[in-house]
Amino acid sequence: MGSNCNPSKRVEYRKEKDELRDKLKHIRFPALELSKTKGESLASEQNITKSLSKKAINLPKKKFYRQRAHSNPFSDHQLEYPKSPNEMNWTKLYPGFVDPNDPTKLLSKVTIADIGCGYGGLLVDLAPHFPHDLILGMEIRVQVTNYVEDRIIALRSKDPNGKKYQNIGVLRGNAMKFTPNFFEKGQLTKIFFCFPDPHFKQRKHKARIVTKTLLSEYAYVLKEGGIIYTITDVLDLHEWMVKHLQEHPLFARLDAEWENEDLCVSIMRNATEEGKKVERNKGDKYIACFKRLPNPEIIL
Amino acid sequence: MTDTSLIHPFQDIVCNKDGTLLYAVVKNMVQVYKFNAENSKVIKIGEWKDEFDSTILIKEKVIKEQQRQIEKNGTGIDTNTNTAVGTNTNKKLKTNNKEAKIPTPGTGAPPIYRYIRSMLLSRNEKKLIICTDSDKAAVIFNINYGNDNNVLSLFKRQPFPKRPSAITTTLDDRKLLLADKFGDVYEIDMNDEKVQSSETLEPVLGHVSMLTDIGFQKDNATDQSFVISCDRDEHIKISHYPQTFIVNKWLFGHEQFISSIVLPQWNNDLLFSGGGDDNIFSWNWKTGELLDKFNYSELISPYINEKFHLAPERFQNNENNLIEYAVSKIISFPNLPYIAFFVEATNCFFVLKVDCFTGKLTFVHKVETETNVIAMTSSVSSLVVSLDTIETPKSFLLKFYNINKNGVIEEDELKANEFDSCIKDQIKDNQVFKVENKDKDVYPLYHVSSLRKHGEH
Repeated sequence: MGSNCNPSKRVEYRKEKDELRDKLKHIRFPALELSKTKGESLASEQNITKSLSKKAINLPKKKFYRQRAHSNPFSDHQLEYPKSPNEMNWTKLYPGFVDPNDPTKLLSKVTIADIGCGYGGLLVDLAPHFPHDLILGMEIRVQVTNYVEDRIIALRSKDPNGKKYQNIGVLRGNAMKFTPNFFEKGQLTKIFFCFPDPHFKQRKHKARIVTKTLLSEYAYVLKEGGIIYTITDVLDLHEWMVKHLQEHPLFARLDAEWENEDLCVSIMRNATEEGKKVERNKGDKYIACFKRLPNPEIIL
Repeated sequence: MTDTSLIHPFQDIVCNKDGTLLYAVVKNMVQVYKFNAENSKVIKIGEWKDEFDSTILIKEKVIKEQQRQIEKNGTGIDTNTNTAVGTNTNKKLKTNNKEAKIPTPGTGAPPIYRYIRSMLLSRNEKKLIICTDSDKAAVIFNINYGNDNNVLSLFKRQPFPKRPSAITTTLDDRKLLLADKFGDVYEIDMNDEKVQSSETLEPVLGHVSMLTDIGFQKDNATDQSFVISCDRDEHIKISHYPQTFIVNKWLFGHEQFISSIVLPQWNNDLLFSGGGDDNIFSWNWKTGELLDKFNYSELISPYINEKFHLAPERFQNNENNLIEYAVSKIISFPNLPYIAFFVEATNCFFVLKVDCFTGKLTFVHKVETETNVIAMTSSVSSLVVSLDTIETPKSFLLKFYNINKNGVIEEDELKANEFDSCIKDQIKDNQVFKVENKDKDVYPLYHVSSLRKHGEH
């Protein structure tokens, strides 16, 4: 942890930010919130958002949100996730996209997902390039998720017109377990895996974000023609991801020419915090992108 | 001395379709009993004990690791002419040449079980499959019906990388599908004797969660086949077969872990599921529609007891009255539109009627048993339960019930008596039934509730 950050200060900072965040959004799933006094709570939240949005909120300081870099994807975290995609209330994540005719619904659906979004660098950089797409970051570490949430709150508050950064959101979640709880079949057009945890030990390989069996689940939520983007600075992991994606019948690798012309590849290469760190350290970055193929004819 | 008279119950039972054969598991042993309908006599016609020594596996591993190290150090000498390093590796080699030492677990280590976990009769009733704890294997037997000395003959024993938790077969019984506690599903050939190394086996599909049950079904309208797998994270996943990389859908609705699913033979659209929720769920798995939920919490409340159903201490509330219970197993009858289920560590089971058109569930019967139900199986028009006899060694290990098409259920005392006398004869001279130490020597009979998730952070 940084030497310039004493724990009590951090605790205080986190508490303050937690309160603000709680007031603003941080979605809660239990049925009571969805069913009970929907209109009422929505109205009051919108008021808070309005009153707060008048003054700009400072960007969060990363040093107060440091957390261990690893998380066990198999353990029973106290996660919140909807019972099914139908029961997911997205309105608090994307207040700028709420349907004026139905305040419980959005005008569009999330189509881009950044799995393990870390401190949200990619989200923030993608946002202006895809103003009409909803982009969701998923992150398993609590403090890191809080940071991204606070960052989005601050970025939104800084735009006097209230238009910018309305299309990005973040959720704390275990994407390896609960992706299908959030997204319907074929809902996504792009999935990003940026600098995932390498899980070097062989017996931990199932904890990797790309495995043969998990790819079938990503293929389910990804639209035909949709893209999986991967980037890592660990050659071994890169080779692993390429191998598994290439072997999977529903994915085909896109060539270097495609990579060079794709906007997201260049954003991903330069944007993420991990990417910047690797850049500073003059490390290598390995990129591989894959297209979701149509389902083959069903064998009887 | 007092403990020596204790009798181990059957931890799992399976009937053939006409109810004449019963396969029963005690600890590491499976037995086959035959009921002769003409004279109502019961005889034992088969037995197999798992006597696999798991220290062999550990030894293999240790030797392999030793060899790997020797090889590594061996090449180290060849490439390194530096004397300092050379002497160093020589030293290592010396110690490595000793015979590999097999680690023995310390006194506090958990015991190594050799129990049989799951059992399945193939659809054509030609094979019996069991899963063993000792080497995490599926053991397939041929059933030689002519041979009343022992109908079971070992066909193959296929070890897996992780502990198996549920098994099923394809409709034609050519493949065995095995779900494990790590979340993966493997497929092996039922008719090929060849055993693969468990390290080379590749899963055909997987969850990032412990799998608890697995099923196989065909959509008669399209002729497409599907594998249905369920896990500890409320998920029921339906994948195409044989193209298991194509997920067809998920069935969403459970709020707690799922422990049991059943696909009835009389309507291949329907699926029933249960687990840590207060409901039995009825689904049309082809459309993904939840057809009905049957809430059993009131029915079960008189049978809830402090000994088994209080939540574990570290998850308990301040009043110390948090109750947790779960459905242990759901079964269907081969020919009648009824399902039966029981809740873990209770002495009763319930029968529900299924409306074949709407999938609606209606309560028809509650049946109380003398002691807790451990396992349950069905055959045409009948149901068998295995009971926890540890505290009551004189009572029946098995009870039999007949059910007619109107859902009327009656105890078959004659059958129970005949079975009991045959089983008691077995117990007399079969050491496997004996329980020397109640804490150490009993299969974990009540393990479903522990699947409940208590999030840590």
